[in-house]
Amino acid sequence: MEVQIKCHSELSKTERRISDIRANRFFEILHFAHNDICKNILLKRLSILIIISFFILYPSSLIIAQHVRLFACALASNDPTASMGGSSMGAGLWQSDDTAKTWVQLGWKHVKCYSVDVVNKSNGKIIYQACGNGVLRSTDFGATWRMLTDWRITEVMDICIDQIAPKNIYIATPEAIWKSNDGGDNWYEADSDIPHPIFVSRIVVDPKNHLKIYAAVDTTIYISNDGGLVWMNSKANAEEAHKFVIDEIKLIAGVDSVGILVWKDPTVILSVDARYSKNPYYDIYPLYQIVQLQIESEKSSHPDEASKNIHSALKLGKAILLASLDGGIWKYEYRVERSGLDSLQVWRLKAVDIK
Amino acid sequence: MRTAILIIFILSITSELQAQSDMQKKSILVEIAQKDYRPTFSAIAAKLTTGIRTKEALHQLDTLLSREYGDMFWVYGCTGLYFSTKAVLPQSYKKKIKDCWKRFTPYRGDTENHFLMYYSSLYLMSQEWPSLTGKQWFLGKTSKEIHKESQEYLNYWINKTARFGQVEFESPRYLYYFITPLILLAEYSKDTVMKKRSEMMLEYLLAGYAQEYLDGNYCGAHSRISNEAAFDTRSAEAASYGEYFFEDSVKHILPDIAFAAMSSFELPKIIRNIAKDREEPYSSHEIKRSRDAFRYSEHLNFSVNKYTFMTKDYALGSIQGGLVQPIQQRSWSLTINSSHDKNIIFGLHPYVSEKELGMFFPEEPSFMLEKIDLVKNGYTSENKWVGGSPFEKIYQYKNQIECIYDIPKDVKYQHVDIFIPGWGKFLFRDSNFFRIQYDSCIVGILLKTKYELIRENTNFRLRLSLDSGKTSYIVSCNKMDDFNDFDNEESFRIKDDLPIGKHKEDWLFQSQFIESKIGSGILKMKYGANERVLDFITNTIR
Repeated sequence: MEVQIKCHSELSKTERRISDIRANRFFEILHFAHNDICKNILLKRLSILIIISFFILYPSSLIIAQHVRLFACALASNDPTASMGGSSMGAGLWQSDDTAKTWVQLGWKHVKCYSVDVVNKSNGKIIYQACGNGVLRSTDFGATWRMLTDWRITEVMDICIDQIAPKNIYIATPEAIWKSNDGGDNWYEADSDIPHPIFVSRIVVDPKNHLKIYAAVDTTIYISNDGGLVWMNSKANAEEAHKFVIDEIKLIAGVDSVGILVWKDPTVILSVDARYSKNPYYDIYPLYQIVQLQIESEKSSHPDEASKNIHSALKLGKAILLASLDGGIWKYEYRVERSGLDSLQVWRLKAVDIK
Repeated sequence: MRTAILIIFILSITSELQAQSDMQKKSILVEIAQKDYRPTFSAIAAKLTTGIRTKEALHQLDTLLSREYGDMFWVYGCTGLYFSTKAVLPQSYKKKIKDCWKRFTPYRGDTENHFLMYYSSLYLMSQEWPSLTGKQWFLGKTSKEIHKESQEYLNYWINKTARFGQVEFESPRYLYYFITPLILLAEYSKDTVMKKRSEMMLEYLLAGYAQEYLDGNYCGAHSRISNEAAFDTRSAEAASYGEYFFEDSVKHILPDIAFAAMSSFELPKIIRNIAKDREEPYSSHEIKRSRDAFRYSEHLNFSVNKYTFMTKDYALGSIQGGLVQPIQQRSWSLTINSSHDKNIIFGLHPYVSEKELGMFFPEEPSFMLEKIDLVKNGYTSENKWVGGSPFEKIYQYKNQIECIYDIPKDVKYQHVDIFIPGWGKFLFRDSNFFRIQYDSCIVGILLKTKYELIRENTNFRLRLSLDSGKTSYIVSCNKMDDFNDFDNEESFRIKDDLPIGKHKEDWLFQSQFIESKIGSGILKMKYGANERVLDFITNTIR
């Protein structure tokens, strides 16, 4: 295992935070061993020696606690004047390391952020943002960013990294699918056999087969089995198809007004009735129904705040996090409650395991 | 004798240009410096250059540089200030500005004017700071990379526009945001080719404006017009440049004129003549481009046919109908050249749909429809006065226009409105015909379905109801002394006043003043015996 050694003062703010979390965990374990397991002084001293030797001898990754880092992509502030083509403070990428209790903004302060992806192997260090201005990349946990694309690429609706070969990156734009083979430094259009114009809203690399790519366009979903060289029309002619969102983990297309479309096999898309309470493929209610529940439960106390524009959802333990265009993040676990970024139009949520 | 010859010689050299004299420029700058605009870079630049209220100017500049907020509007203003006040701007402020371009992360925008503001500014700033590393720019790119990319975009835009037409064409509001960055590029670009091309684009846009200009009015159809200027374009932003370039004095002074007044750019006299000479009526055929349609369209963009009939008393202009721009389109208008305000007659079907928004913006269509009124006031109103409709077809021949509507039942608003300025004198009115006098013009309106005439303050709304989803009307305008009845409608739909052998789809510009074949990249201006040719292939002016 390659270990890069830096002294604490050399670390970026984010790195320091991660380092501090790891250190705290380490001392928590020591404290636990010291007080609760060992009863006499000799054993205590011996145990400390054993534990320290254990940490010296074993790779450091084993002692690092794992947690979920959340990313929220905000398009705009919910200010009345902020929408469509404008910039607004707060728009951009947000991060939470405490299950959506608190959020910090990473990088650009007022760029429309549609989507985010992280190189899994980098443990949160290499992040890509899909923005109105193009694609941004950070290689230092979000401390600094570089705009990778130029004037040709605008309104990047989605980004997906091939995690097996993370230099291969796909983006969806309102006019094309683009691909980079070098980590985003150069881009080429990778949709020559799809009839244009196409509005590509989502792009997903199949986690089981990294050469299989799904692209949601305004009328259907296209599938490529060779990393974007050749595309086939899945012929999923769902009404309101332009509203597809695809859950990147389970390949489920959700539609914010008509429910969830479940990917059953490579060629068939099954439409699930919005009233269908549970389905075997996705252990949550259809988005639309959550929305209804939410409105009902919130009506009495916050009549104006009840969001009905849920645009993204993800599971977080037993809870479901919902990103709302009406304002902020909502957490659903027995009841619906706000979970930060209230003043922002949140387009996407993403969870990343950090070790 | 020698002196007289010398004077004649100098006059003959300078007569090609419509010079705003140094005195005029100075007085404009002084006026801007003395006015209480909200803090803007151009007004601050005027103060610093003239030495008027400089302390206040620097205080305002501190405010504009301290707030980490920025977009393409911030970017071009900051660039203009930096270059135009370079000789007087304290070094500490130059450093502050440089630091802003490292820390601020301005939004690029999503329209043609946004991109021009953004990339022209990046072009000039990367020229100014040629050796910065990626860490010294907000973009994370080096000066070289930024300069190359900006140059690429600017050349792409110039080539495309000069050959195939502008997207945000003839906008009484947004022309202002094309002219200013081009003035900055033409003035401060070190690269002689970019400098020349920027000057040529300025002339290109101003020539197009000039032939739609009627004593301060911006006539005809517009890609985008604001609610405020919808009834009177003399109050719009572009009118400020119109007066600056075409008139002897500027009454409607907006702060960006300061950048023009600090530049050496001078309008060729031929363009001013095109703007002012209305002795003979003329027609102009033009081709523009639609905005990119992301959804619900067979084509990403398409050609827009624009036509204007201009006289010294009125101008009637139109496009073919349909949706070519979101929200603020003006498909046809009849402008009366009058001292009265609200001097425009126009009509529309108030189309309101998430489809229109989804067509041109990438965000969620349904959500945008919910939010839109907060941003673009009145979009969802049945009474709105700006916007296009996919259910409208327009035919025009000289002083007559026919608008035909076929509106499906499930479309939200089932009516068509015409705005009638209230200061006209109603000469005749019956169940399907109006004749109204505006100054020396007689306007006839022939309606094909039932209507209601609704008084709104001092003006009228003529509301047509549909008959089986359909309605249409014909509007004509004539001088009082040469009034004609309506032409036979069947024939005028196919009439065309282009010279024999010329087809409108071949011409980017075709009028007695301007000619440009589509795709040629060459635009010829003509006035009397004078010609001026903008050649975007060789980047020369002949």
